[in-house]
Amino acid sequence: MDVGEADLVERMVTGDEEAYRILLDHHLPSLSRYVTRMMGNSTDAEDIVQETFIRLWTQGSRYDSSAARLSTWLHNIAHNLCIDHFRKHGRMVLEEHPDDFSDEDEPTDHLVETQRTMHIGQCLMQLAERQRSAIIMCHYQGMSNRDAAAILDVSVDALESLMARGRRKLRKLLIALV
Amino acid sequence: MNRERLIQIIEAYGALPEHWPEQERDVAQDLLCHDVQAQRLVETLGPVDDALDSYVPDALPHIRTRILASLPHRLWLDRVLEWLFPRELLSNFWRPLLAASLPLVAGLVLGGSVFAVEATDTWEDEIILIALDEGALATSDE
Repeated sequence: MDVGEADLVERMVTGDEEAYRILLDHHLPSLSRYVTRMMGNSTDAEDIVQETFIRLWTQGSRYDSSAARLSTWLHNIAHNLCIDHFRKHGRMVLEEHPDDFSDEDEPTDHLVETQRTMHIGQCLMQLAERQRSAIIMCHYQGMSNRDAAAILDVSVDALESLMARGRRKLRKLLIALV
Repeated sequence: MNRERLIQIIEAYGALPEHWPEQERDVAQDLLCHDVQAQRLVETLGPVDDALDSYVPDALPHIRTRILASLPHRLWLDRVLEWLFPRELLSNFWRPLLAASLPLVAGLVLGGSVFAVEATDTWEDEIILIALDEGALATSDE
């Protein structure tokens, strides 16, 4: 974590809303993408992203900048909230856009692309939560294997095993789609 | 780095070297240049990476406003406590302080219990002594 961000967290903990806004703007896009890919729908993703950033505000004093980067700490909170949600509500399916797939519409490039994106999202949602989370953190979030392993509370070897199994399953699902 | 590790890396992190572990990336790429079987594996797994890269979820357009609107306001008491007991001070000193206070607490508990036992013993002893004294007097009268 850079000194500037550590300083912003210190200010935020003492109630500085401006410091909080800077941290929010910096981490919100990346965290939103992580949660949306994990949840597969924007409604649940919004709730979890909101709760994650409220915890940054209310529990920011628990963050230890010497132990982890703020990004990793936030991903850890978001990951745990996603898992809690799946335990309470079961796995959610990827949201559909029925208007986009009306029979009357001509298949445009945009439509084909949207449909393809949705199918890939559905394939991702069929993976076990830990496999999906491992792939999302390392492939999309650019997280180091050590940070991702720490969030999932596994060794780096176990993380790689999760990703390899997830990718194998993903490949089968994608081949079945074609 | 050997061939087995290179295969593990490709299977776990995918076909794109930019996703491989940073500390092993250069060596793995060198090894890949000379390993035809690993190159075939990269070609086979490449479409999975392409598919993953093409999946860009919808943005959450109103989430920033929603978060800022839902922030709980800090109570004045929280701010006073934060000012009185700064986070650094608490995190650096609360453990030693707690450890230092343990003998004091133990002493108070022990002292209290010993005092209580002594008080009871004294009272009981006193009754026994009075009874013995009366018995001794009765015996001497006889």
